[in-house]
Amino acid sequence: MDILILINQVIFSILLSLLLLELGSALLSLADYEKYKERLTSYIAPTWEITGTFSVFYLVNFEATFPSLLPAIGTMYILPVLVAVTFVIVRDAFLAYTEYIGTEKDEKRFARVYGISTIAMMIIITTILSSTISGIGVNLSSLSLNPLIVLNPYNLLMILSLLAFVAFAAIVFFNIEKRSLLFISIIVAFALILFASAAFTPFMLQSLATNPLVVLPSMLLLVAIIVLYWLRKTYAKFLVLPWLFCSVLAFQLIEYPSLFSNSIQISSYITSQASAPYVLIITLAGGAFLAVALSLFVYVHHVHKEEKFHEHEY
Amino acid sequence: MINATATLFDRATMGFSLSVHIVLAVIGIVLPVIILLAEYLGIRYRDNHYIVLARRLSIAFVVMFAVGTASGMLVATELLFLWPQFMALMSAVAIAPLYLEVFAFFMESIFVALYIYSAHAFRERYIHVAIMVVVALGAVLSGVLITMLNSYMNTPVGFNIPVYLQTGNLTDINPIAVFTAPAASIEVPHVVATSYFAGACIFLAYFSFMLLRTKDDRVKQYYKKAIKLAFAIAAIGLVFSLITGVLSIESLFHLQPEKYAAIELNLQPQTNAPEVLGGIYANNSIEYGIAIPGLQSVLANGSASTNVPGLSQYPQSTWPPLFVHDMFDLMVGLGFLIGIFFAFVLLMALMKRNVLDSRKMLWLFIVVGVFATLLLENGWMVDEFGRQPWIIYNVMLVSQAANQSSSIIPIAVLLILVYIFIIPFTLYVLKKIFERRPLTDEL
Repeated sequence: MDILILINQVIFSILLSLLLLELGSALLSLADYEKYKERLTSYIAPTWEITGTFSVFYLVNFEATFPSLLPAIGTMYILPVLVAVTFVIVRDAFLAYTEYIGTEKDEKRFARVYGISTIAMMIIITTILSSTISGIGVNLSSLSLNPLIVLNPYNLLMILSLLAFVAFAAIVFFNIEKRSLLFISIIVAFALILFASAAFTPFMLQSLATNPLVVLPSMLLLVAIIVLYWLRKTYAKFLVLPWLFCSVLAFQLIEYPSLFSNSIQISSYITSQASAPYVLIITLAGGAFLAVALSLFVYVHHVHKEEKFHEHEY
Repeated sequence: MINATATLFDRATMGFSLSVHIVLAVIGIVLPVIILLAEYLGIRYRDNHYIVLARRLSIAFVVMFAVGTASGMLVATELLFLWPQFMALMSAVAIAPLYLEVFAFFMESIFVALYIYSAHAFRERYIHVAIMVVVALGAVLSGVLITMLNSYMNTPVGFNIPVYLQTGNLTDINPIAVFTAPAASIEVPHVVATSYFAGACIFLAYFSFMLLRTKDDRVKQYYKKAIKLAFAIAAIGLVFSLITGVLSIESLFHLQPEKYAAIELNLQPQTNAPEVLGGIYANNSIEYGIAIPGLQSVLANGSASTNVPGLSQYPQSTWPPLFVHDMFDLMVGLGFLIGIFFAFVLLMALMKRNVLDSRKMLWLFIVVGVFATLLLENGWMVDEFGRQPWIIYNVMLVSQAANQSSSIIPIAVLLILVYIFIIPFTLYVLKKIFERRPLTDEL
C-alpha cells in the first residue's frame, strides 16, 4: 500500500473515532442531559473544535492525495455532503451557545438541538461511507445518486451497527451505569456488520479471510476494555479511542483498495510523483506539530483542574 | 439550460457563503489581537477594565469562532463540491497553501481551547497572553495562506499551461511554485492590512454603540478604553491598507492587465491616461465619468508617459463585468473618506480634545464600522468579479469548473436559510449571554 493512502486512512480513522465519540455524547445529551451533563462537557467542551478541524484535515488530505478522483466525488456527493456540513454549522453554533448561555432551561434546549444536529450529521456521513463501500444508489457513469443510497438494507444495517458500536463506546467512555447493555451492544454491533457484509459486500469478508490479522489489535483492545470495565477500573475509558481507531482502520484496510463494490481501485487515483513528496512532507511535519500541540493541550487540560478564563480570578 | 442554472446556483451559493465568511474571518483575525492587547495592558498596568474586556471578549470569541470555523469548513467543502474540476486541478498543482492552512487552523483551535481552559495553569500570567499570541498568529496565517491560493487563481504558475490547455494533461508540475504566485507579493499584505482595519472598525462601531447606550461612569470608562484599543488597531491597519492599496494598482497594471483595464474602464491602451472617476460603459464608450488627465498613467507606473492597457487588446468574451470600475471607485472613495476622518480624530486627540465625549463622533464611529464592512465586501468583489469569466485566469473558466448537478438548487436555498437564521441568532445569544453577566458586576 502506498504510504500516502495509508496516511489518508489513518487520518480518516482518527476523525471517525472522534466523531463516533461525539455521536455517543449527542445520544446521551438527548437521553438525559442534566444527568450526564458534567461527564459530557468535560470531554466535549474543550475538544469539539479540534474534532471539527480534523474533518477539514481529512478533506484537504483527501484532495491532496487523490486529486483526479475529485470531479467524480464532488459531482456525486454534493447534496449529502453540503447537507451534512449544514448540520455541522448548527452543531458548532449550538454547542457554543450551550456552553455559555448560563440558564438551565436554555442550556437544555440548545443541547437538544446540538444532539439532534450531530445525530443527523452522523447518519448522513454513515450513508455516504456505506455507499462508497457497497456502491448501492450510486451511478458512476452518470455521476449521480438515487434515493436508494439512503433506503437500502445495507445502509440501514450499517447505521444500526454503528449506533450499537457507539452505545458500547459511550457506556465505557462516559461511565454510564448500564452494564447490562455492554455485552448486548457489542454483540449486536458485530452481528449486524457481519450480516451486512455477508449479504451485500462479500468481497469484504473474502478480504478479511486473506488477512485476518488486521482486526487483531482492535480485538485485543476490545477484550481489555471489557475486562477493565468489568473490574470497575476507570482506565477502561482511556482505551476507547484507541479501540475505535483500530477498529475503523481495520475496516478500512479490509476494504482497501476498492471503492463502490470493487468498481474503483483507489490506488490508481493517487497524486502525481511530482506532488507526492510534498504532500508527504506537509503531512508529516503538520502531524508532528499537531502531536506536540495536542500533547501540550492534554497536559494542561488534564494535569491542571480545568477552569474557564472568564471564571478565573486574577 | 440546467447546466447554466446549476452554475448560477454554484456561484450564488459560493458568493453568499464567502460574503458571510469573510466578515466572520476578519472578526476571527482581529479579535485575538484585541483580547491579547487588553489582557497585556490589564496585567501590565493592573487595570481591571482591560482584564474584564479580555474576559468578556474571550466569550464572544469562542461563540463567534464556533460559527466562523463551521463557516470556514463550509467554504472548504464548497470549494470541492461546487467546483470539482477546479479543485482537481488545484489539488494536483497548488494544494500546499490550503494544506498548510489546516495546521494554522489547528494551531488556532488548540490554542483557543488552551487559552479558555488554562487561565489558572500558569503562574506567569504573561504566558496566558502568549497563548493568545499563538491564536492570533494562527488566525492571520490562515488568512495569508488562503490569500496565496487566491493570488494563484489570479496569476497561475507551477505547471505547463500551454500543454494543459492543448491536451488537458498536467506536466512540469512544481507544487511549491504556488508560494511564488506573482500576485501574492502585494495581495497578501493588502488582505492582512484590510482585515485588521475592517475587523477593528467593526469592534470600534460596537464599542461606540455600547458607550452611547450607557449612563454608568465606570462602564463609560470601560468602553472608552475599548474604543481606543480598537481605534489604534484600525488606524495602523488603515495606513497599511492605503499603502498596499496603492501598490495593488501598480501590481494589477503589471500582472493582471485585463483586470486593470476593466477596473480603470480603459477601452483603448493609451499614454497620459486620465483617471476616470465614476462613469459607465454604454454604446461602446464611457459616459458620465469625470476624467482627471494623466493621473492614471502616473499612478500605474510613476510617469504620465506610461502606456496603460485597454480592453480592446482582449476578446470581449473574456472582459470582466465593467461595473467593477464603479465598485473600485466606491472602495477607493470610502477608504479615503475614512482616512480623512481618522486623521481628524488623531488631530483632535493631539489637541487634547475629548473626542469620546461627543455623541456625534460616536455615531460617526458606528458609520465607519458599517463603511469598513462594505469596503471589505466590496474589495473582495472587485477582486473576484475582476477575474471573471475565469476561475483560474487564462486556464479555466468558471463554467468549466462548476458542478453541473441540479442538486445544488435545494442546497443553495437551505444554506442561505441556515445562514440567515444562524448569524442573527448568534448575535441574539451573545446579547443574552452578556445580559446575564452584567458589566457592572465585573468592573
